Amino acid sequence: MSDVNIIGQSLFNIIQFTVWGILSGGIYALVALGIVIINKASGVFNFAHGWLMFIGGLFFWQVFQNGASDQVTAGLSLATAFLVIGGVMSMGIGAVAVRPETSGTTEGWQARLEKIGRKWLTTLTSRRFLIALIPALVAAVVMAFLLNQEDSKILRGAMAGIVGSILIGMFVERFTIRPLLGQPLLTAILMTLAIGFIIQGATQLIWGADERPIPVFVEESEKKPISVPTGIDENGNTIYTVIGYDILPPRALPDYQVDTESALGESLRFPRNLTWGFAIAIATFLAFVWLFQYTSIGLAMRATAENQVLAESVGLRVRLILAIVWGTVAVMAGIAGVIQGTGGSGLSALVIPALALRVFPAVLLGGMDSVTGALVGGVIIGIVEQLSILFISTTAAQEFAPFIVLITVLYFKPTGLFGQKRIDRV
Amino acid sequence: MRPSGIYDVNYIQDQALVRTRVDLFWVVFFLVLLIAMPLLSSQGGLGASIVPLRLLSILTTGGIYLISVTGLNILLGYNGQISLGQAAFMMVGAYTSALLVRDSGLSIVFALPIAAIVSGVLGILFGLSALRVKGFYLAMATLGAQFMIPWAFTSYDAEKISRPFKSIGFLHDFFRNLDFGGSEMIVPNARILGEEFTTTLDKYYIVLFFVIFTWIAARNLLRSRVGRAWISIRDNDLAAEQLGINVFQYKMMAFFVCAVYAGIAGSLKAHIDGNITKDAYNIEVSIRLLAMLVIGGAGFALGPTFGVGFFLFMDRYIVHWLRDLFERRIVEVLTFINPANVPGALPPLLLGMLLALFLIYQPRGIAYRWAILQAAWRLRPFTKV
Repeated sequence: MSDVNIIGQSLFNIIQFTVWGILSGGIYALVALGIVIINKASGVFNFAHGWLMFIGGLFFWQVFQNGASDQVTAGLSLATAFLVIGGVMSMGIGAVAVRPETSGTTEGWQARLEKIGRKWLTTLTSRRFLIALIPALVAAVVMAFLLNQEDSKILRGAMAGIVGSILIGMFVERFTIRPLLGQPLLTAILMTLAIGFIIQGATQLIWGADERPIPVFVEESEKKPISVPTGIDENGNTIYTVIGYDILPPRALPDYQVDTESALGESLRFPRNLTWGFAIAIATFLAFVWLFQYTSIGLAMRATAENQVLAESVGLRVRLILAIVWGTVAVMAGIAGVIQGTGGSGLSALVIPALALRVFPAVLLGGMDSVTGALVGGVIIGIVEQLSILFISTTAAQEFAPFIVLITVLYFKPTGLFGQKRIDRV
Repeated sequence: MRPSGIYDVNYIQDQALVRTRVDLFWVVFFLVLLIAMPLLSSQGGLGASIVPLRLLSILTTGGIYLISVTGLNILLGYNGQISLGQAAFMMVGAYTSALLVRDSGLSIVFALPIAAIVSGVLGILFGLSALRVKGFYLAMATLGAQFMIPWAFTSYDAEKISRPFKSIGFLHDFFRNLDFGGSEMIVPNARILGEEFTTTLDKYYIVLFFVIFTWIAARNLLRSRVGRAWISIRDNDLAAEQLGINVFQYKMMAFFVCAVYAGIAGSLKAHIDGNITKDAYNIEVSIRLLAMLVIGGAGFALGPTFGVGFFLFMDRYIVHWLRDLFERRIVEVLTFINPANVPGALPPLLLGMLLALFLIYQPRGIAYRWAILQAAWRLRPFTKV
């Protein structure tokens, strides 16, 4: 078996690279899902998705690497409480539906203020809110406790990433996508390109242009004592005194291995970051699919995606739903960004946004509006990419192979594998 | 809006490029200005050096972008398609023209049209995939082109590519001898009848000629049957189809013209820059070209000019001014900003902000504002018709 050659490559290499392709394909699937969901809900090809990944990853990195001050910890605990309250409050379809007592227009600012006040008063005294307060407080206390632990770097980073991503996602929706509701698609596409530039500029202004590795899958940095001779003891031996420590660059943890020596001649290797990344990506993917398919807020999202006007006319608060969708998608993007950052290239403004553009072929291959398609397309693009690293070159894998898939899909099946066929009506 | 008392009485008048005497005055004025201005520079031969050479080279770069953006205007402004690969097609034109001039010693008179056609044909290859289906698939196909074309040029390996053609002698030799120079290709100066174009002045004039040529070509295309078909497709493709317009064919034609314009611009850019690198034709350049068009005003004859002019102004002045502001004042207030990051971060930030603001508040661009201004001026002292 081990001496089989296919176009100059051993069978082992092909299997190994395919496995890596599937693993990285899981991350692509997560990115593709975000693009598909935005396309379904807002009707926009989100060209800024890569930048959402990047900025989410940077929030993680900031707290992960530099630690959190007390204020940040307190803020994150409070944010946890808000998230729990938000989660409880948005259970059931009523949360995203227009309430009869708040609909309609009101004249005069006093009346309007009174109305807003009454709305908040009813919300804050509702039984649901009071019930939600209990788990929220518990969650906040638990979170504060957990965040103060010495070894909770990852949790701290994750909380910062989630909260930051939600805020960024909602901000983007509120200030750039919402003003363009009802405008032609072209404008919206250009707007996502503009958002990409804004995030690029803003991140570079604050964090600079260096790439930032996220050292999760590394050994504790070794400290090597630096000693200098300071004197001679009575036996004539030199006395060394340690004057400081030389911190060696952290080394990556060894890959997981699966013993396939007997069958293939070598053991298959599973790099830690890819394996864990795959697991987390697929878990996030499934969690979102659950949210989308089996909860009432998911139902509202699907209704909005299907037909905005119809959703509005049955009383759904479409703008609120879109804000929630953007927040959720930004979190998914941030998770993907962090996973990508744990790899060899780190968080780099050159790598991650380009990666999101490489996912567009995956989205198109699966179908612009298909959740299953995002998974399948992502994995296929991952495999194609890794195999072209093996057979051609790394630059070919990044700049050629995914796009040849894209052009092929456009030529032969523009709706993608699982996409719906669109019918235009006059 | 027409000035008071001027009526078109026949179709020729309605379609004329220059409609009124005032128009004629401005056309002649700008032509004379653009042609005569360089003569007053230090290379002009009149002994005067009033016009700085720097201005001429800025205008030259602007002219190249203007040609490219005019092509985009035909595609986006008049046909409603979006292309994210304009820079890649410029690159095709650049390499083709550079190869022809360097290896075959061809004059630019022949090299540039060939480059334009090659770029157009390659554009069709990509466009064919997307234009069959409705919707914004062209953005996707051109995104693919934007990555594949620069990759193909910069990682071309003569040894590897020519090997399969061993049995076919001339193809083997052809591929064997192609040399794209890897990551950077040095391009010789353009030549006409053995005369090399070396000085700033020469380069300015050759670009000016092509700017005027492509401008008139675009105007003529747009007032013909083809242009009207494009506009009808932009406004409502289903209705256009009902009128008997072959939507696919006309969309393809628009994309072809857009790629041809890119090819012309790329060919000029290669000879004027003197080199071709991947960075000068990457996706950010493509998006910048789109932004120029949108900010200038897509679908207006003057849109590209306003857009390119605005960007030249922004790159020269606004960015520097903002950089000063950031480095002197804002860094003191917002202490988390590292002053060293400011120069790199400002251009994308400013571009994104401007594009977003224009899309929200002035989606039809500067040219639309200009048209309103003109109408208001003509109507004064009244405010309504």
